[in-house]
Amino acid sequence: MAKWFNKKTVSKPVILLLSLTMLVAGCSNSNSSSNNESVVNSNSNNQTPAAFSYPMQGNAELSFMNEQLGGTPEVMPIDEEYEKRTGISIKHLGGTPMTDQKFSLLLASGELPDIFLNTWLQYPGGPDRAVEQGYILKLNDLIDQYAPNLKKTLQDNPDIDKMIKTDDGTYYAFPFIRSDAGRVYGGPIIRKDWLDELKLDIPQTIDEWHTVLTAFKEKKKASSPVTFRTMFLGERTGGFAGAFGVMGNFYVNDGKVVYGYLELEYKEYLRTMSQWYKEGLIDKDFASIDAATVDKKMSSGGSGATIGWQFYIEKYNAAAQETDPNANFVAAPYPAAVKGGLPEFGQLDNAYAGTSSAAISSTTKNVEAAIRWLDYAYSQEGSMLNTFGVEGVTYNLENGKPVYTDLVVNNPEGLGSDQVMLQYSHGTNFPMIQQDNNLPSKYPQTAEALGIWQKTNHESHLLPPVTPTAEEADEMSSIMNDINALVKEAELKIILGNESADNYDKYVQQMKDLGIERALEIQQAAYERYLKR
Amino acid sequence: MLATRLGKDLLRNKWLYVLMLPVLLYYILFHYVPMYGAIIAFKQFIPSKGILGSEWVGLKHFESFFSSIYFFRVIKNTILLSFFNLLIGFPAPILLALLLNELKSSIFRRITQTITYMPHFITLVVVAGIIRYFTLSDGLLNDVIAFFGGERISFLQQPGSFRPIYIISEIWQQIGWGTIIYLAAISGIDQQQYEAAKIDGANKLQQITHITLPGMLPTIMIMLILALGNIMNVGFEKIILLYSASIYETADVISTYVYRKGILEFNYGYSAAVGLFNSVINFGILLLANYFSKRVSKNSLW
Amino acid sequence: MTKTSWGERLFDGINVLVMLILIVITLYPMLYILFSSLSEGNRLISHTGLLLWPQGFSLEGYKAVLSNPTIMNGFKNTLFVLIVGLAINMTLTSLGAYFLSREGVLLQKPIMFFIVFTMFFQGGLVPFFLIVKSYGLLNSLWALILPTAMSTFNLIIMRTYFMAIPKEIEESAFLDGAGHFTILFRIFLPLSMPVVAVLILYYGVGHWNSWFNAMIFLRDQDLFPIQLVVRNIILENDSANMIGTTTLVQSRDVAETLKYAAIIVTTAPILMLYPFLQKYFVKGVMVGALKG
Repeated sequence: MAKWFNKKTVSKPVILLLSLTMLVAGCSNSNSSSNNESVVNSNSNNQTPAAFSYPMQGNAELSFMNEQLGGTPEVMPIDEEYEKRTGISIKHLGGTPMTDQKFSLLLASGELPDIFLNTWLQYPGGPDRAVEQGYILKLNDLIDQYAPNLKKTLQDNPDIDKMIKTDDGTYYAFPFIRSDAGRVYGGPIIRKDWLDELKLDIPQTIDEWHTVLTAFKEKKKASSPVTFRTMFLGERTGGFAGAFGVMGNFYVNDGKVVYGYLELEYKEYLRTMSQWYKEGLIDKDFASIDAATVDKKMSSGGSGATIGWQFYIEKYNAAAQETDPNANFVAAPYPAAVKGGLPEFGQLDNAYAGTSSAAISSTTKNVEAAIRWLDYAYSQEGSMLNTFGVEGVTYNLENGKPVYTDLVVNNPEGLGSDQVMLQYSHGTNFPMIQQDNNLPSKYPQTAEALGIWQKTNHESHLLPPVTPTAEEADEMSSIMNDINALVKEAELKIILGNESADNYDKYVQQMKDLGIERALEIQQAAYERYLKR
Repeated sequence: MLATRLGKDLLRNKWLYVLMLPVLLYYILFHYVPMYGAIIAFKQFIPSKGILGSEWVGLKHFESFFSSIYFFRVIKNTILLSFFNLLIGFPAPILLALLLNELKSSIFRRITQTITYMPHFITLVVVAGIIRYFTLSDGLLNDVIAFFGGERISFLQQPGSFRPIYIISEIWQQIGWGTIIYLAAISGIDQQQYEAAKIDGANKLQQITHITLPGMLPTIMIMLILALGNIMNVGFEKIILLYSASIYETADVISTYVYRKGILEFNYGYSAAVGLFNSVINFGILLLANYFSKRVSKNSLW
Repeated sequence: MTKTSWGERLFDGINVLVMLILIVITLYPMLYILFSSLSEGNRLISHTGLLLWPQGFSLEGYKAVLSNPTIMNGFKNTLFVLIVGLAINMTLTSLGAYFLSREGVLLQKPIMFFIVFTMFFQGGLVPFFLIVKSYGLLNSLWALILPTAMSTFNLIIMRTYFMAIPKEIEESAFLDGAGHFTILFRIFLPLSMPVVAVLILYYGVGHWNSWFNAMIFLRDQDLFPIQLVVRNIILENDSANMIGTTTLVQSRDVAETLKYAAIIVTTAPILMLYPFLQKYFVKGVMVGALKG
């Protein structure tokens, strides 16, 4: 028995461990406080120099977070270049979206990073409330003082200015404004090689889609002629609903906010989908599949069409060509009601969707540095850097136009152009006015997609980034919770044929009982206030 | 009277209490000190105001949960899923432990044990992916059904097949891991009892029912009490990964419902209120189970 | 010894058969992951039907995982938490289980109730976070050790086992002048090796797999345990499918195999733990210990 235990050898480590605990706990404490102080000491005098020029003096260091879950990314050449040019170093602390628990712990701990990229527009109760509760700074005066580039941009572009402030004129973040091409990134994708083989054109209307899908089923023996995840079905994109003049969620019809699921046409759209499902044209499993299954079906010949993101075209072509060198996935236009017409809906984001916009925490010790660092992106050089990377490394100017170097176009290590640019630029999801970088992609089909998906009337229906009041926002969310579930369930039940499309009226009534009309009232009021900004 | 008894007890068992001190300290520091936070179930929690500084809203969150049109559905789904999972999933590892124990070859036993416990380590994301893949209308399961002349079904879209899929995959993933505790219990049984029984001419089955099972009983009862005290908790993450609106009818449980609400408004008071509701029911069931176990089998938590 | 009857042999045969089926069913998913991790991404994406062999052969997934600069640090941090954590876990749990399994201790039942109560009623994440922060554990590996210094579930399991130890053993030790400490560590624990092995497994696997506390308490990347490192690698690859607005980089074919390589890299080491502990699950441990 003695071999199991010896009093002295066990008790000592235990005591040691406990004392070690105290020691380490103490250490980590003092460490963090001394760290904070070192951040503070950088220049604290608030006088604006008559003419400020980058790099900023004083070796300021700022903490930074964004909204992508994950750890601290590697330091890229773009980060070093940014530091060199602005004179401000950034300590990246990883990220968290607002919906994650980590976000509220950050709020609770009172330790927000100096610069926080997030979707502040979605803050419960609106961005005004985040300012009022003391987490982030109201930026109006600070922009006047330290952010000449953003200020000029807003003066030159009143439409942007209108989007990024709240109803009472508060600026709460440095916005990420998408370029026109960046606002579209999803739509129908179809196998062109199958169409060619079947002597069919790319379908443009619902009827043509029906013909094509039927041909895929009968002649190409596709088990699921078209497959997609439910989020593409009128929710994130107009999908096939756009041809019926509707889509899901809130949008605007002639100055009036409507909730697509309540519209009469929605029932007709569901009836058609239900018919397609019954005929075996839509993937039998579509309501329960994940992205990986869609990938498999698309790249193995099980399906010939889908609705998805732009980069899927690249992915499917690469994967399917492994086994079938002829495979050719291209973007198809959103279907319209009649040939030559435009569908009412496709996929289109507001230029300012609220995402990746930088707020400055109210606990920041060096407000000026934070603003200077962010403002750089709105300057001419900053914009060039974010779009095309470092001059002489990733591009050269020829006749005033940037031309990519071989490092990008013909990478010696075999990296794709997009992979290279990720290291040297901020292509997307960064507070700036996004410019198109015209980056060559591996498959020309990928680049062509945006132009094809852009052809819709979606613009006229877009609900701008409205800001309901705090009370309205609370009321909205409690109403919409049950309605969201109800509508998705109803939609799938009907398409899957478990219930007839005629029963949709019953669900419309139920949505009304749950207060959808009150929600519409709130949205309408917020929309009208927005127009008056 | 009580004070003197307590004094005497503390004196007599003082070293026992001293040994217990670090444990009590742990529970106080890491469980009881943060427990004040439970009051946010009755508050409109705003992080900047802190838990104590947030405004009282009374039973508002509870009312909002109880008055949802989905209240009864999610309660029913939670309890049914949990109940069937317990009914089938609880005895499964016990049975496997008994069978493993009867294997003659110790190498074979070890290999079986090691392999069956492996699925426990696969992350749920991948498990869910495998389940999806196998239950597709042209997946492996349907291939088998079609082979025997059945009709292909898209299982994960059928409200009726969600519970079986959930429970079977749960057993598949946890059965080997679950046996570990029972194997340990079996190891503790005195071998002399078996030898005595063999001399008395008891066969295998009699040995199992008269020696092995009674020897495992304290462990089984404690595990059962604890499992019953968890009846309102179901594998939230797995459901989120497997369900879709087409099977909300059976798959939407309390935690998934609250999760969806949380995406819209991060209302911590609300989720705390629902959590408290669950805890009270769980704890009540635990007390009942403990009471009956004490009466019937003499095994109890206190 | 009676000779084995016909019925018993039939039972043994069926038993072996059942086990074989179980092995096939539980082994396949592991092989599926292994094969996927060794496949070429593009071919894996387009593969349908049962995966019985890697599709092509590529170690790109492993390269992507292992080239992450934080991964080795992750293993180191996890190992530290595992070893120190286990020492504290086992010490506290045996102390608690010993106390709770004694007879004739007046405050035992209230204390048991006091402990079980915490299984059901917690303050929630926010106050837990704030309290741990106030103890000065933020951004320290001790935040992964002390808040999980013991688990009530495991405490109850050990207590149940201790209660089954015959009274006479303890009484005779007392007569020999042994104190509680001696009885617990020199008699009870050696007698309870099966349950000690179980708890080492439970706690060990718990530490190995945990990432949530690390995610909320640690800021410094150098402190991240392996599971958090790997989770972050996978997340960066997965988010593209939901959001859709990311750059084309997400389409690289490594993404698919990377997930599986990450699982192999992180689970293989902990799977090794089991065979070492398995020897304590043999029959008759207690009898042997008694005789010794």
